[in-house]
Amino acid sequence: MPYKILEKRKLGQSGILYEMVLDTPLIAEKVNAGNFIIIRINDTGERIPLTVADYDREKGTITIVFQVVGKSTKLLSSIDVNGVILDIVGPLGKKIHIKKYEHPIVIIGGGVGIAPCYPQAKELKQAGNKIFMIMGAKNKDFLFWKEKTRRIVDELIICTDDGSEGIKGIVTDPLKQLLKREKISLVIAIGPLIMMKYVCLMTDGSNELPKVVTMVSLNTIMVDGTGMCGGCRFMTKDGKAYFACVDGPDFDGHIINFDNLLNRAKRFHKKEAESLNVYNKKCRALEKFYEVTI
Amino acid sequence: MEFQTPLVKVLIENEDKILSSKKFSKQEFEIFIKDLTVAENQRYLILEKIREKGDYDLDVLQKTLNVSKRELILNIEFLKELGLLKFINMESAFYENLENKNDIKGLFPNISEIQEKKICSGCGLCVSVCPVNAIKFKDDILTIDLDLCINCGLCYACCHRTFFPKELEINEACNEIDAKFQEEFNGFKEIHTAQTRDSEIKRVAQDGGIVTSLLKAAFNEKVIKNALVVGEFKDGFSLKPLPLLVKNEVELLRSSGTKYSNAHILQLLHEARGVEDLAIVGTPCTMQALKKISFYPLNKPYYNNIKLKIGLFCMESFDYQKIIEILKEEFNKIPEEIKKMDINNGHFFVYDKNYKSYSIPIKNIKKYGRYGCFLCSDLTTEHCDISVGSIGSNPGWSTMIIRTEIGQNLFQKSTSRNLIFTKKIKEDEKNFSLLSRIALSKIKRYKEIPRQKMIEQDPNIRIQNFEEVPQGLTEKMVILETQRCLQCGNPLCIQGCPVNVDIPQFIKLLRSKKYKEASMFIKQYNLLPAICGRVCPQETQCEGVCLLGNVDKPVAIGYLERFIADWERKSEMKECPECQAPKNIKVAIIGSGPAGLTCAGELTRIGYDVTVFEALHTGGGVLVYGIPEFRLPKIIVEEEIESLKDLGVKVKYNMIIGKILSIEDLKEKGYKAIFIGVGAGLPVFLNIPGLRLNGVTSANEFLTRANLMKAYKFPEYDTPIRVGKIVTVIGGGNVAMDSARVALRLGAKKVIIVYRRSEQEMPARREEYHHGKEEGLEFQFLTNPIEFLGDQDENVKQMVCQKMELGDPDDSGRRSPIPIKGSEFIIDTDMIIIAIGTRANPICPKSIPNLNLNKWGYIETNDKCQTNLEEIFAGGDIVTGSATVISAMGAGKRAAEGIHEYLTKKYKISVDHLEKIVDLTH
Repeated sequence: MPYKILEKRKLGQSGILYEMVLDTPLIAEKVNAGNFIIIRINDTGERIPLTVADYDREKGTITIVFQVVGKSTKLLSSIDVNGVILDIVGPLGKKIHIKKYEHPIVIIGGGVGIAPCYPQAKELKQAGNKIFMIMGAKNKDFLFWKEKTRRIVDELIICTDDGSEGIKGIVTDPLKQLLKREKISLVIAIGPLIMMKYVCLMTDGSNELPKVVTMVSLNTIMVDGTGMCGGCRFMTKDGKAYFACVDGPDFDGHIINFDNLLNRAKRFHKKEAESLNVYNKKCRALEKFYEVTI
Repeated sequence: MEFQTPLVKVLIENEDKILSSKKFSKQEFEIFIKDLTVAENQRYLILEKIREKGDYDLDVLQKTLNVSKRELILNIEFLKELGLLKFINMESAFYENLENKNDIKGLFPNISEIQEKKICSGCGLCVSVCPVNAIKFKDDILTIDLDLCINCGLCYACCHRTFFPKELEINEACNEIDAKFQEEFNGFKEIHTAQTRDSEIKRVAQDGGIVTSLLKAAFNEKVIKNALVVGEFKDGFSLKPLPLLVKNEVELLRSSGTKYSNAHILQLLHEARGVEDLAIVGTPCTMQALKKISFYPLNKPYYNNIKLKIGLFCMESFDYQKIIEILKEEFNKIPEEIKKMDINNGHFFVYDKNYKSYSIPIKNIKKYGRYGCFLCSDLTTEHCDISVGSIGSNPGWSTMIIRTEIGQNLFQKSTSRNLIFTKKIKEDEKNFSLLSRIALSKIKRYKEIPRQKMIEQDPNIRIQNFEEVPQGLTEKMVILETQRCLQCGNPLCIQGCPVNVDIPQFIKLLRSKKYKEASMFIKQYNLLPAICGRVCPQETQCEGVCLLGNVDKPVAIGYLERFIADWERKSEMKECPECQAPKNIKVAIIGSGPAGLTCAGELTRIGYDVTVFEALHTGGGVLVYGIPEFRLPKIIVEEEIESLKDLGVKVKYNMIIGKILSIEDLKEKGYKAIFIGVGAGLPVFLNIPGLRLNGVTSANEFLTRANLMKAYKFPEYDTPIRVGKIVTVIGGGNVAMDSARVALRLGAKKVIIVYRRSEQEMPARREEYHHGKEEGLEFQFLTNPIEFLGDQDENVKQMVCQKMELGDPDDSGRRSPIPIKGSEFIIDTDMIIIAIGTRANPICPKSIPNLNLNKWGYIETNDKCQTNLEEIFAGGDIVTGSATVISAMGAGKRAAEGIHEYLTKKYKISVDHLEKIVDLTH
């Protein structure tokens, strides 16, 4: 039974970021911050994991945010409101641990990673925590959910690589300031692997800053999302293997071997490019077809 | 100069042992050796001639050696069975590796394997031919005293069940001028129905009292002076028969009456060797044994004195213990109460002391038959002078098949002495066709019909596609294959099948081309035949125990099952087995693999409202994510699920129980019982250095991408898959084989399977192993990886391995591999697939509070598949750990019974019991 897209909107000005609200009452009832879903768009589609960005138990909906990078996300972006996604399975993974911490929490969202920070921030705030949120993006066009986020956090710091909005620089700059300024109980970082790597390097106690527990959310390559394929596995620094899908997706960032993760993420790059290429050709052919027929 | 053959040599070396057994006097022994030496030298001369030429031509050999063609053929057969003709590619038909059975080349082993293979006919000849008295029958079971045994192999050479040359199959009667021949009777002259006129004989004898009358005539006419017959137990009355050597007609009367159990009459052949003019009365096996030793003169005195052979019709014989069982189970009687047994009009009769009779249909006693009898094709005892039995005559009369001149003379003398009334049975009579039909029904065709082979795609072509490798049997091949089935009375295949399909009955339906009935029949036991026919390891189940497999290749049961399932799919028969009235009770099934689907089907059939919850986007579990298209086309799984839906089963996809819904949710939604069949889906990784490298993957991921996600059709399908040039697969099971063959099809230049034990221990289905070999898989047995090495970009480049040797057997009964120190070597490879097993997926079981799990995370259940929580049942791999599709189906079926029993008790629903297999043949 396919799942209906209830709302769809572009986020920011980049043109490649989308938000969708999906009609999934059973999942909405059980989902919590940290969980993810796997979708399969159509019969020939691949299974892609997406972290849940928001949910509404009463309406029976969940929200996903995605950036168009390959064929599947491009295809997904082409489906309009009232269109359907063939398969959605979830909620998968472990929900994050919600409690009141002694000191404030810093949540760092980078790029499309801003979205999954939202439910974490919301639930942690509800538990009575003081929350600093750092939002980072390439430029202002890639920023989204600023107001939505601002409503639930104590302080929102924005930074862009080119300085087109907020602080010019990367997310570790304001983080450093915060760590120097305040006692922090927990850092949460969700975004590109390279960003999470550097956040962890800053909080591991090795550079005259206090060591702070840092949780990162991994979105590795998966097939089933239930621990069956082992495609999402990664190594810790001491050589232990973990499955992102069932042991995570949130992990203590200080044990992770990010270089291994960066490597593993490249496994299908060639194929992914090929798939997108074929799809683009098909799209262009279709466009031409319409041009001619119209 | 005479050559001392191995057989002669071993006998001479053991002269003391032989003489001390008191079977032979010194003089007898010397004559025995002398005769044997002549015969053996003849054989070795033939062997030498064949060796010289490197081949043989019967005509040339016949001229140079001046022996008859028949003698030549029989001797060549003997040499072939000894394994001495391998150099011209003639292999023993009976033993694949004869040389491993006995240390000395040129000797047969002892016949212990005849007993182990359940093919001993019980004729008793080996007891006589053993020169050291090492062989005995204990409770009808052949036993060999290995302390006494001198490993001469004489027993093996003489046994008619080891090898029986085709040349001997035509009987002697055929050499006579007025002989007729019919396949089911062999050579004969005339067939008569007869009755004794002797009132004394009539009182004690069976049917027409003909055997006793013929022997009486033979004694009176001095044709014979002794007779070897089946007699009664010496100390008082009993149904236990004993072989008896009688010298006159008074003694003769004590032997009358059929005992139906085996007396191993030829045990007395040795004792009877010296007596003059001997008659032997016996069943087909007795006469076949005599026939064999008469042509292989291994001990001359044993047949030279035989002047008359009277054969008894025999359908099958029963061990004495089984006779007692029949009386107890079928008649509720003990042997002491029984005076006589008889078979008439398709019924088995017993008479008590007051001659009151009780009867049951013959088919009810078939299951008590001796296994060795199920191989026999001979109803009328073809190799004798005159055959006698009840089939073809009215009650109180016997049928006589007169075969030889000797038989004819005796028949004439019996009538002229007014000992018997006779009437010829003409070929157009009803009784003649009845006898013919029954005799034909006993003929086993396996010797003439080889096991049918499936048509397969050529290996060079099939490694470029994902289409099914074996293409099935044609209808004609199916009928041939069904004719190979022995239709054993007590079929081992049923016991070998985890869901106990009545295979012989199924084959019977197929044989008579009742395809629809056959299809419905098999579905009573097994709702997924198209799948089982393809993926069951038949070689370790039904076919592994098939009695025919002990003498030839087993019946291709799996092929037949596949045929009928495919026939049904093509026929669009779409007739569901009947469902009972709805009970309006909801049952939830978690997992749509073989266990879940079977459980769902069975429960729906008995009227439950069943919903299957599947975690993936499509149904079938391991059948779709694990087993590749070329082994099990996914359309078949789809169709089987569709037919379950037609039955009323509901299937919900994308439902991970323990995530989206909990067991409590299900209970709230009104499900009264829950079956967990979630399999063992988690991959086990080798914990060795280098696991981090790109190019190292689990077989689960590799296969799931290829099978479930159809990555082999990339980019038509979006899921990518990566394949190396040189792929190494670690493991020896079906999953390893599947991964390797998928890798080949996806373009790997070379695929190596690395397995830490040897070929014999490999758990993979044999057929897949052979197919893989044909396709060019390479195998590194007794090899274990210890490290994966990569390049600077963290891509795997090499695998460091260690050689292993086999130590003592472990818990699984397989010999455990031990590393050999200093044997490390390197395999170059750019992709490593780990297929060393799977373990339980904790998502569902761990989500249920208080559910008892064992230390590996598998669910604990009782034999009804019930867990410690009464409404929760479990079965398949999540209970047993990785096993087979069919054993999961067996568990699904047992769970359905368990659930039904539980719900019936709990909710007091009154229904018939679940298991009600209708015999469609009636």
